[in-house]
Amino acid sequence: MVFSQAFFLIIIAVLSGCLNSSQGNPTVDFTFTTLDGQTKQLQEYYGKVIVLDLMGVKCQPCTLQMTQLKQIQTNYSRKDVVIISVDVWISLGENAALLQQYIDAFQQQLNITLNWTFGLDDAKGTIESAYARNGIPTLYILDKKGNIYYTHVGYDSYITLASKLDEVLTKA
Amino acid sequence: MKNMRIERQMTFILVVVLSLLGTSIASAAKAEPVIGVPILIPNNPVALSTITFSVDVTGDDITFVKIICQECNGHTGICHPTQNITMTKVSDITYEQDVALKYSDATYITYWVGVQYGSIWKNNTGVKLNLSIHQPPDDNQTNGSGDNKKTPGFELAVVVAAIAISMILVGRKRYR
Repeated sequence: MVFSQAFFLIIIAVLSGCLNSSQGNPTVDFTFTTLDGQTKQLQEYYGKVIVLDLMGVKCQPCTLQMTQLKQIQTNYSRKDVVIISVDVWISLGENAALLQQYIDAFQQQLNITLNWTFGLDDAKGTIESAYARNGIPTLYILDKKGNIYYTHVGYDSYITLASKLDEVLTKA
Repeated sequence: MKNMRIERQMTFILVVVLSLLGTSIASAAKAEPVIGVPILIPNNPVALSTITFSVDVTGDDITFVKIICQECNGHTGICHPTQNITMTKVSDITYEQDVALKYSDATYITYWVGVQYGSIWKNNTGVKLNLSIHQPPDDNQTNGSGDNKKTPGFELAVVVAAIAISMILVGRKRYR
């Protein structure tokens, strides 16, 4: 009887340990280069909810994703939410000039102004290998402390992103 | 004596200037690589198949030629991690490389060729190619020997026959 109770307690302890580890608060932080050549640390944006979009210019779903991010940019206060798109395909030959052309093309051809922070990974693909291993676009919503609240690989609609943003803004 | 010295100095300066001019002309004359249209075999690949890419690249100072192939799923909107493989030179201008597609859910690929010459990287425009719908060869088999057995095959026939024979034998025994 005593043995079975001890066994039961051990199982509970192990399971609670698993729960605790899964409820940990993983954060995202890295250094990236902005289009005007500045080096930025993601940490600098903590204090606001961050929508982080890891993308590539030649990735078609990423282009579609831009239209959804634009809606977020339009509908959410910039005091609360900041959007950061980082091109993680620098190791594949993409560069600042190409990314700028991409932004310009949105403006000229679709009349969509992508007026949020854009950045670039390094040539080794450090950000890609750490945070976009499963493909792009990879989206993260980070709470005001930089903890991952939501993550999704692949195109994600405005409705989904907005509902997650509303949740995290309510909790903040 | 003084004139001789000046003449030597002038000759030296002339040689230096000419050699510098020659170097700059030679470097300017180096041709920027021209990347041909990649050829794919097969030209209608399916997911998880292997594609042989072949491309002609002309130009000077080519360090390497790479084939970049991304597999995407148009339904989920994911572009999987891209393959970026150095191509093998098979003739003076032709480069070739096999690329094994890795993702079963890929519905299209986008591929392009990148060339490193000197310290400059040049790539051509990406080409999008829809993948043919994968048709597993076992789907047409009905004898149940394939992995994806959805149609009853010969095994079922054997079982039915065995049951029928057993029933007949039992029936005969009872009759006796």
